Amino acid sequence: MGFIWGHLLATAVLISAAAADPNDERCLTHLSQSLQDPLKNLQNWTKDTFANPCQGFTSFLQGATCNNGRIYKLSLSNLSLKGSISPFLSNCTNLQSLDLSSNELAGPIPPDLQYLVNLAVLNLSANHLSDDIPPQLALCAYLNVIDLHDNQLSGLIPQQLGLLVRLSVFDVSNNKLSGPIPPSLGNRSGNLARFNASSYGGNKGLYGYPLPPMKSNGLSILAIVGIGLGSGLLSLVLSFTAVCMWLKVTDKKLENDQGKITHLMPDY
Amino acid sequence: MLFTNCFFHISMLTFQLWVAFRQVSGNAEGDALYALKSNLGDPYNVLQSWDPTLVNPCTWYHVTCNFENQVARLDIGDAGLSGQLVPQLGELRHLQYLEMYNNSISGGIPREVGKLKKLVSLDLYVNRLSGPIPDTLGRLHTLRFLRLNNNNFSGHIPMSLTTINTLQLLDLSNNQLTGPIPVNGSFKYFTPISFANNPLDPLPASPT
Repeated sequence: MGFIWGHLLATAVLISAAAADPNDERCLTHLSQSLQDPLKNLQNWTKDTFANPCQGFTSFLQGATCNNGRIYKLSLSNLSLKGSISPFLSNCTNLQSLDLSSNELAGPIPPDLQYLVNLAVLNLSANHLSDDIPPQLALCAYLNVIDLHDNQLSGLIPQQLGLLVRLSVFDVSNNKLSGPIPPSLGNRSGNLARFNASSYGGNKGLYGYPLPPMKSNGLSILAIVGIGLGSGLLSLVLSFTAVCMWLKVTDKKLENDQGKITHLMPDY
Repeated sequence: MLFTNCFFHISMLTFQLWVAFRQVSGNAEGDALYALKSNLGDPYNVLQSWDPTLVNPCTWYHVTCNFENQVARLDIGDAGLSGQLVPQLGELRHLQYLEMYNNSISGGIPREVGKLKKLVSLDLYVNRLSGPIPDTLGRLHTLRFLRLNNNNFSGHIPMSLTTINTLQLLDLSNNQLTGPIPVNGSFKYFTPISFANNPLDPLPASPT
């Protein structure tokens, strides 16, 4: 009997682990804890407002937009925010647009963002975010915009992001990404939107199409040819000069010798 | 006797002509709104101030005009209204906000609503509206908020709506809509929440 209960419990745990609880209050409480607001820019971000962030279709929370009693848009751009992005942001399950750009947020992009299944716009650009871009973002099937430019993200660009059929804006420029650009993003075919080199620039270790071919370590072909020709010419000139000088020396010696002989020759 | 009778008739006729003339040369937008009022049930007398004899409707409660005395907003949400919408709504050519949510209005959305070329917000959610979503709504090229949720709309979602590039918020949930969910144009940004609780064809499964 206990065995059955054990199984049921395990199943329940597994099911709950597969999705985040829709709970805007939890989402906001944890986010306000993980964020730091030194300039007190987050108006009305108090415990009371979290409990009831949406009065039907309007929100008292600065930066939050509601519909049908749930937060669907969070715009906290350019507010000098520090701290990190809480993984519990995933409880805002109705979120369609998340914009935390132009702040000073650090730490990783939480893979828990995968539970924001309604996310269409993700803008975390111009922060200090680090670590890898989580491949789990590919589970947000409706993503149209992924803007992560100007951060300190490292590692590889996850090829799974190429699965996002609605992706029309993809910008990871100016980060610390490395490795090859996955063809699923760099070399897309069919109706899928394409991204040019500007989406990938400013990443030292990143290579592959559409970035221009990587320069070889050392000298370019032109430089090698130039140096070869130059040194060849120089050695020619040097050897010519050396021969000239040797000839001159031997000539003079001959002259000297001739002079000696002349001295020795009797006058007639 | 005959004289007084004649005089009476002539004065009545004159009076009637005067009243008729006043109405004919009256404000077209005021007339449109008055036609709406005549077609709505108003148990709480929310529309009591709607006096058609005034020169324009700009002083009516719940009506907001712009600088040129043209109706820009209609805010009659949460008003306990019943009855039906009227085609004359299409005459409010400068209307930007049509807020009639949370009432008991029935019938359909008149096709003439597609004439409101400056409309920014169309909020008819939580009512008893039925019939199709008119494809003429696709002509509302400044529309940002379209909320028709919690009604009894049926038929397909018109493809013309995907051409509205300004659309930021779409809520068609809790209706009786059928057919495919458009995913092109502006609808690329909309997720299942916008279409929930309708017998629509399901969106393709998300890739894993």
